[in-house]
Amino acid sequence: MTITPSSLPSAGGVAGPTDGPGGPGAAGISDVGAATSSWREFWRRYRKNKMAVVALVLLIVLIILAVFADQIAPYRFDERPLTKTTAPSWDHLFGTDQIGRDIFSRVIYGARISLRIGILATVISVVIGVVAGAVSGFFGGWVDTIISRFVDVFLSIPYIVLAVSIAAVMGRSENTVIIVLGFTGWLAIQRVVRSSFLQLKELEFVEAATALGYGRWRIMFRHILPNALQPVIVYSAIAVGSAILAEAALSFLGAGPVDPTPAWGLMVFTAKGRLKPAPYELFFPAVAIVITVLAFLLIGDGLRDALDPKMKNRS
Amino acid sequence: MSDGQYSGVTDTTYGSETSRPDGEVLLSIRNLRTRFVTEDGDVPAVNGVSFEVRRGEVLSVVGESGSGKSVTAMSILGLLPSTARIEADHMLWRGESLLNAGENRMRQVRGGEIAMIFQDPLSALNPVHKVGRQIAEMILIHESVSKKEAESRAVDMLDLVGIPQAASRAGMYPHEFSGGMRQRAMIAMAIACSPDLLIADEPTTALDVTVQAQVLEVLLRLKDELNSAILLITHDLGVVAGISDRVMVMYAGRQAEVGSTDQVFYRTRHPYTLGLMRSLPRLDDVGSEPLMPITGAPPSLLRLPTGCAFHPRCPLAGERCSKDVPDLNSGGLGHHPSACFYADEVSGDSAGLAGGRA
Repeated sequence: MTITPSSLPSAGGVAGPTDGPGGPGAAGISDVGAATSSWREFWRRYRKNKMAVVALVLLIVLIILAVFADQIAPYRFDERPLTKTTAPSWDHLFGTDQIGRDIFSRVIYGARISLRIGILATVISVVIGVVAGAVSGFFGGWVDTIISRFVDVFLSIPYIVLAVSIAAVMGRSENTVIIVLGFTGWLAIQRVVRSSFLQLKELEFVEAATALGYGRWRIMFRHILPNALQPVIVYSAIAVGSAILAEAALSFLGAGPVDPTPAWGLMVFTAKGRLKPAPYELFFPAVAIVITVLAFLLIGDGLRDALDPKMKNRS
Repeated sequence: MSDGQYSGVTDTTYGSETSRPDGEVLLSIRNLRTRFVTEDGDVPAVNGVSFEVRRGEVLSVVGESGSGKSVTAMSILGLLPSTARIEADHMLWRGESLLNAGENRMRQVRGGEIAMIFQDPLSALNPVHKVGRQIAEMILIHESVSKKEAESRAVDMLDLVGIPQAASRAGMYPHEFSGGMRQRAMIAMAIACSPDLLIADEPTTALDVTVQAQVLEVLLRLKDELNSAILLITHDLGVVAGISDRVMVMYAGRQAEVGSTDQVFYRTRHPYTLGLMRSLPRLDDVGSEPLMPITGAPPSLLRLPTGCAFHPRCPLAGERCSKDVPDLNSGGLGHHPSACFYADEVSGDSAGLAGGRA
């Protein structure tokens, strides 16, 4: 890929998804009405990343499992059809755990918990991170200084330490994990959004919006934010995966949910002492974690490909 | 679609015919001084500029980069960064002072009463919103109309600026428009609320020549339809000659010469204006005379030359020019204003490029 000289003189604009290799106006005057809906266009580009499509199918399966766990799982997550651990069999596909609970059912219920933790924690992070990043990037000055230094301080505290402390105060539960991850995850998003805003607010369309009499908040959230969202969307998909992984880590450290909760991380944690007699107790929830996290990372990858402005005019 | 009205430097008749010296005074600025506070000291970007804009006229502001023409426009709308300090004896918009207007009032003025058109329509339109929606938003902000009405008016506006199939075009994004259409869309947005004054900051610089003519024609037609005025900022003398009624030449933050288009082009009274015109190629005069660039470079605003800022580059400069700062009266009475002590020696018909001191 080299830049041909002919593509250079036309590069008048800098604003986001605009100039492709064909230069401005390459979309042409002739194709009136050929305006493809942006969703279809998005899907067309997402589809090219085969792994991302597979990941999306996996995610849909996970969501179905999570929503219909009561119908799909043969046993309740806290039901004890047996009294001791058994190897996988036709009755218990993934075997049973130390106190005789069906691991297959617990892994299915675990999807509900992992997705809930991953998604809610990410939603909290994104909302706080976007607002904080937008405000500090747009207004700058002392507002920016205060927010950014606050972020610096919190980024320098390992979230594990923070999580264990919060869990100690609030008690171990799913919601504690969500809150901990939500209130630590926004820090990175603030930085991403802030830097986008710093760049975007200097562009001419922001000046034009001011010249047209638009108010600051409208410019901030209606005009700059949509232009800054692309990295946030990509990051969010990856963040859901990280949050699920973090839940596992916290459970492993004893700062996560408590026992009957079928959290995958917790299942791995309880199984770790009996790796030799009952490896399946650890294997299946661990694989569930790997597959789920991988699915979100690959979806993030696909989103990036589909949203990347440099890919915009590629056919 | 295209027109014969605009054909370069020599076509000055169009401008002078439409001159309306008796129109209502929309904008009156007296002794505008805008400086930027920097670490290296204050930069006087605009230094004592006075002018009026009347309803129905096109006033062109001409000058090199850094002459203060854009800063003048930005000062009017209060669009400059916080490092700018704006002072003036007065800056009246239809009799109301803009200097101490509150932020809310300024937001009404911007877009609603004074609208601005930017140089690069691609970067001035928001890439993530549909063109029709951007225009509708503008209408919704300034007027209390329903969303549906605003959207249908947006389509009317696109139609008005000559965009074919306006209804389907309204649903497209800026990157799907060609350069000329983007500028038209920008104009449609600017005029959506029928402003009284359009400030066009190099509206055609980013466009190719054939599209330039069309865009200028649209601007002029709309000005007449809306009975508004245009403040045109440009360094393109061809554009100036084609459409303006009056011309104000700026150099290093000061006014060099002000007059009707005919006066400035045919009875030039400032050596800088003459220099600008001589450095311009003429389509109808091939080969007879080489282009004459103005020697030297525009001065740094931080270290302006003493006296007349133009004197180090001026072929007419005398002893006095490095000592005293000329103002618009320095050129003597009985002619159009020129800030040159030797205005009488600038030879007349510079549009014919005959002049010089000889």
